[in-house]
Amino acid sequence: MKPAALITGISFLLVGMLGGGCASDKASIRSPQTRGEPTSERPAEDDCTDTFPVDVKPINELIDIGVRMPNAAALPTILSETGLYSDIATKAIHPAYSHFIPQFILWSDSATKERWVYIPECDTVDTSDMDNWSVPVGTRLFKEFKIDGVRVETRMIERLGPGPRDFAYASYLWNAAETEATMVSADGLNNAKGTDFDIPSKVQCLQCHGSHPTGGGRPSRALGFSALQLGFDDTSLSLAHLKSSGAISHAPAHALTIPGTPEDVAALGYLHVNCGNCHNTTKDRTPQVDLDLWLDVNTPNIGETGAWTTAIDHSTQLFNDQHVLGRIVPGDPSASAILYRMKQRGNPGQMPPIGTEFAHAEGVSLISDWIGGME
Amino acid sequence: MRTALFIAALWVAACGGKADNADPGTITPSPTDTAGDDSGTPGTPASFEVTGTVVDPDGTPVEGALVLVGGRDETMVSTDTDGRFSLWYDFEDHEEPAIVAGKLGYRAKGRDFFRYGEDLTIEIAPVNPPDNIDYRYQSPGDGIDTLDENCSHCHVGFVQDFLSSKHAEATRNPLLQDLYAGVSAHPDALSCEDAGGVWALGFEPGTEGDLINKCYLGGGVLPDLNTGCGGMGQPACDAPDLSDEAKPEVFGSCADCHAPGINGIAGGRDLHDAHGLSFELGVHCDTCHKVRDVDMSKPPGVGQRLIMGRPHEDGPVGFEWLPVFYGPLIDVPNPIMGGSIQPKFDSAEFCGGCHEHEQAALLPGEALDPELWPEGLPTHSTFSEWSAGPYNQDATQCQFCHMPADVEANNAVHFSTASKRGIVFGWPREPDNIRKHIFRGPLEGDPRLIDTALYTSIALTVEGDTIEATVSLNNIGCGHAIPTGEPMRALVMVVEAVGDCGVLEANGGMTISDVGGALASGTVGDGITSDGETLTWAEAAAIASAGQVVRVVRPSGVFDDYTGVGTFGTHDMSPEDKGMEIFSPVATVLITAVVDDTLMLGTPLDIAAGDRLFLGEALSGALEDGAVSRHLAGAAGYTFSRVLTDAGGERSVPHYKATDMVSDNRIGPGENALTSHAFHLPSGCGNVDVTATVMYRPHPLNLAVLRDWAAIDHRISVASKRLGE
Repeated sequence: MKPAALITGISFLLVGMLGGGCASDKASIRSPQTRGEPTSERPAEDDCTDTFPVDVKPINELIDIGVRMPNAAALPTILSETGLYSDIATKAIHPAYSHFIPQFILWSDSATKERWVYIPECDTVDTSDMDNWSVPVGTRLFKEFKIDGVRVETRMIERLGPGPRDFAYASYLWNAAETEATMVSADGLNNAKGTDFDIPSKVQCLQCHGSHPTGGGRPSRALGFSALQLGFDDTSLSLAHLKSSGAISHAPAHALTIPGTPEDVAALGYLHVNCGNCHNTTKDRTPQVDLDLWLDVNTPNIGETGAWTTAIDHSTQLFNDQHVLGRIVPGDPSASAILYRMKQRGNPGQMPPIGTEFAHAEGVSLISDWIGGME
Repeated sequence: MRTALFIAALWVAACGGKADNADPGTITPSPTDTAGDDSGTPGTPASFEVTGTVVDPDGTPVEGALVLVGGRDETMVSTDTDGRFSLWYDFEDHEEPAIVAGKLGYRAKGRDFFRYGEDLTIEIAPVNPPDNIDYRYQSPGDGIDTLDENCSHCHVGFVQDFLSSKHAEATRNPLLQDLYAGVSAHPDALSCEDAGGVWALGFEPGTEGDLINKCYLGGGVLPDLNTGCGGMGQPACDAPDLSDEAKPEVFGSCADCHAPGINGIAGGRDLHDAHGLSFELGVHCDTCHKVRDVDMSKPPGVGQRLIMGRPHEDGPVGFEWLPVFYGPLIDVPNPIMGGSIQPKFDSAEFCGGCHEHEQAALLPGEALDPELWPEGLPTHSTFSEWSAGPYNQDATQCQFCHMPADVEANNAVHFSTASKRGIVFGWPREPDNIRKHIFRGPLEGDPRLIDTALYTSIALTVEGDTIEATVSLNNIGCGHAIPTGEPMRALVMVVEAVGDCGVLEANGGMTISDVGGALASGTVGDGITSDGETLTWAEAAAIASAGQVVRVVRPSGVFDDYTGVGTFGTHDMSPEDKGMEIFSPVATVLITAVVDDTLMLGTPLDIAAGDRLFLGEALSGALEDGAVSRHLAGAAGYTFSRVLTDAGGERSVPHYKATDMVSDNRIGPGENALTSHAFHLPSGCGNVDVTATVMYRPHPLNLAVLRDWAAIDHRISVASKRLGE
C-alpha cells in the first residue's frame, strides 16, 4: 500500500525537463504560503504514465534473493540500458531526465561532475520535511565524473522500494572510446582508466549514502538533490521548477537563504556539503561525535547553525592531536581541528575519510580565511 | 495443544511456507477505515485496532508484557495489570497480520490469521531458573548445509560469520592452551631440551584423555596455581595416571570465558574438560544465546557474571527440552527458537561479561596490595575503558565496531523471503538489528580495525645542533584504550631521523622500554664493564652474535606524567607512582664479534655506572607490517602497555601470575599521548625526515621467545615530518 501522502499527492510534468507522459497539472498548482503546505492536487491516476515505471513486485522478488537488500544486481550492467541516455553515442540525455547543479559542490579531487535526476512523473518527492526529502520509488539519480575532460565513471542510485534502505547503487566505468560504461564490481576500482581517481566500493557508497552502521549519512540518501542545494536560478533544475511542476509535495514558504555574510555563506555551504552529510543530527549520522555541520533550511540566525552550536569555540571529542585546540578556534586556523583534518590525506586524520586523495586547496583557503577572520 | 502447535511450526519451517493453520472460519478483517483501502483485497481495512490479553500457561494475566505487530517496533505497547493490550494495526502489502507478545523471562509468542474483532489471548511461556546442567549445547552447523537442524538451518550468514571469528577459536587457541598447561610450542624433544624444557607425555587438548608428547617449559596456570603437580620433581598437572593428591584442583577460571560451552556445571571448570564442540568452536552460538542475564557485580564468565539459562522445561516431540534462545529482539516467536528477549545482547554490558576482569592474586600464598587494588587487579579492562570514554553512547556500544550492522541483510533468516515474512521467518529488520557475527578483531577488515584507531603526528624544532621531536599519538577511532585492555598487548613505537647525511644519532628524549624486547639486559656496574672498544657482559656474550646491537640508555630521574588508563589515569597519581622513568638514549653500537664474555664493538662506547644496556637486533631496513618482532628496547621511541609484575618483580608477566601493575600508559579513547625525542643534527645535513612508526604487538616478545610462538609486529600507524616544512 502506498503511503497516504502518495495517494493524495500529485502527478506532474516537468515540461521540457522531466518529460514523460503525464498530463500537465500546472493549472492546479497552488501557491504555498507556508512551509509544509501541499503544493497541488493530484490528477486521476489514469492520466499519468511513468516514463520508467517500476513494478513493486519485482522489488520484492529482488529482496527475496537471500533476503539481501536491493543492490546493484537490480540495475542494468551497462549504462546505455539505464535509460539515462536516449543515445549514448551522442550523449543525448533522455528527456525524462533533468540536469541539476547543487549550489555547493562536494570536493572530489580534480573530477568535474554532472548530475541528472529522473522523478517518476506520476509521483512526487515527499518534501514535507524540507531537510530530508524522500524521493519516490523509481527515482533515479546519476552523477558523471570526468578527469581532465575524460569520462571515467557514472554513478547511479535508484530507489527500488518504499523502505529507508530500498536504494540500489551502481558505478559504471566508461570505456576508452566513451561509447559505453560497464558496471564495476562491488569492490570498486582504484586508479580508474589510469588516473588517480578511485571508483568507490559498495561499502564506500554506503558510507555517505547510507546510515551510521557503515559510516554516516542522511535519511534522504540522495544528498546533493535537496532543498538547500537546488537554487532558484534557471540554469538547471531548481526549486522553482520543482515547485511549479508539482514535483515536490510541499514547497518552502520563502526562498531558502543561508544566514551570515557572504564569507559565512560560502564557508557554511562548504562545510555543509563536505562534512554535513555525515556530521548532522539525524539518526543516520556518524554517531561517535556530536558535531553538526549540516545547514538546516530553516535556520534564520547564524548563531543557531550547527557550526556555531557544535564547532566554533567547541572542544574536540576524539581528535586531540598536539596541533589543535578545538574544532574551530576563532581567529586561529592552525589550531582548528576541522581545518587541520581537511589538510590530512592518507591517514586516519583525513576528512572526508573517503572519496578524495588530495586536499582541496581552495576549500582549505576558504575555511582558513573564514576562521582567521573570526573574532 | 502446545505440542500440536509446535509440530505445525516444524512443518512450516521444513516446507518453507507460512503456517496454513488458519481456522476455516477465519475471515479477512473488516475495514475500519475504508478511505485507505489500497491493500488490493476488497474489504481489507487500511488499519484496525487489535485488543487482547497476554497470559501465562496457568492463564494468569501477565503485566508488563510487550505486544507489537511483528517487525514493527513503533506499534509496541505494554500490557496493563490485567494483561490487557490494545494497539493499532496499519496494514501493509505482502503481509498477513501477526501480533507478537513477549517479556523478559518469557518465550515470545505470535498470533496470525486471527479474526478481525477477535479479542486475542496470547499465552507466553516463562523461562525460569535454574540453569539446566543436563542440557547439551547444540552445534551451530557448518554454515553450508541448511538441512542440518542447527543454526545453519536458517542463519547461514551468521554461522559463516562466527566460524571465521576469533570467538570460534577461543578454546583451541594454542597460546591459551600452552599457558594453561605450562608448555611451549617446541615441536620435538631436542628443541625442547635446548630451550630448557622437559619433553614428556601429557594431555592432548581437545580430546577426552588422549596423550601427546609436549614441551613443559615456563610454567602455566595448572603448574603454578596447584601445589601437587607441575613443580620441581612433580609430575606435570596433565600427566597420565596422576594420583588424587597430585591432580589439579585450581583452574584459574580460564574456561569460564575461553570454554563457556563445556556441558554440565557452568563455571569453575578445567579447560581440559573442553572437547568436541566446546573445544572446536569455543564461544559458539548456543553458549552466547543461552545467557539469560549479565550481572556485572560478579566475576566474569559463565556461571558467574554470565547467568546461564539452559532450558529445563520438557520439550515437544523431537525436543528434549523446550527451546529457548535469548536475544535482543522482542518479536522472535518461532517456537523452534523459543525467542526470549534480553536487551543486554545489544549492549556493551553483554561483552563485559568476559572482557572485564579484576582478579585476586592467583598463585598460592600470594596476595595483592589491598590499598592499591581493593577491588582486585584489573587485568582485563576493555569494558570499563569504553564505559569511561566518549563512545559510551547508545549508538556506539561494543557491537558498533565488533559486530557491525549488516546493511545489506533484510532479515536474519538467510533464506527467508519478503513474502514469507511472519511468525516463522521473521520480519524485515533495521541494520542495527542484523549484526554480523564476525566479532571483528583489531587485525580484521579492510582497513583493519586497528588501522583506523590511531592518528600520529610529529612536531619539530631545532635548538643549536639538536632536533627536538614531539610525537603525538591520538586514539581517534577506538572506543576503548589502544592497545586494548586485554592483557599482554603493547604498542611499540620507533622514532628515527634520517637525512642526506644518513641516520641521525638519538641523543635525548624517550626510548623504548624493556616491553620492546631485549635478548639480554643489564646495568653498567652490575657485572658489565667497558674499555670503550669492547664490552664485557657475560650474559649477553653467551647469546650474542655479530650484527646485533647493544643499545645503551641512561636513567633521567624524570618520570613520565602520562595520561594513562584506569588507576593510572587518575589525576592524583604522581609521575613517580605512574612508574615510567624516562631513559634517554646514549648510544647504539654494532657488535662485530663475540669473544668469550666480551663483545667487540664497531664504534667506541662511552658508558657510565647505572646505564642500562639492551641486546637486540639492528634497525636495518624498513619496519614492515607483519614482520617478525625485533628486540628494540633502548631505541629511540616509546612503548604503550600495561605492565603486570609477579611477586618477584618480573615484568610483563601473564596475568595469572600477576600480583601488581606498575604502569599503564595505554591511550584511552579520545586521549592523546605525547613523547619527546632528540637527535643530533650534523652541520650541513639536509632533507632530514623524522619518522614515527607504531607497531601493535599482541603479546610480549619475551614470552613468545620462551614459548617458541610466532612473534609478529603489525604496523598500524606511520607519521613523518621533514625538518623545515
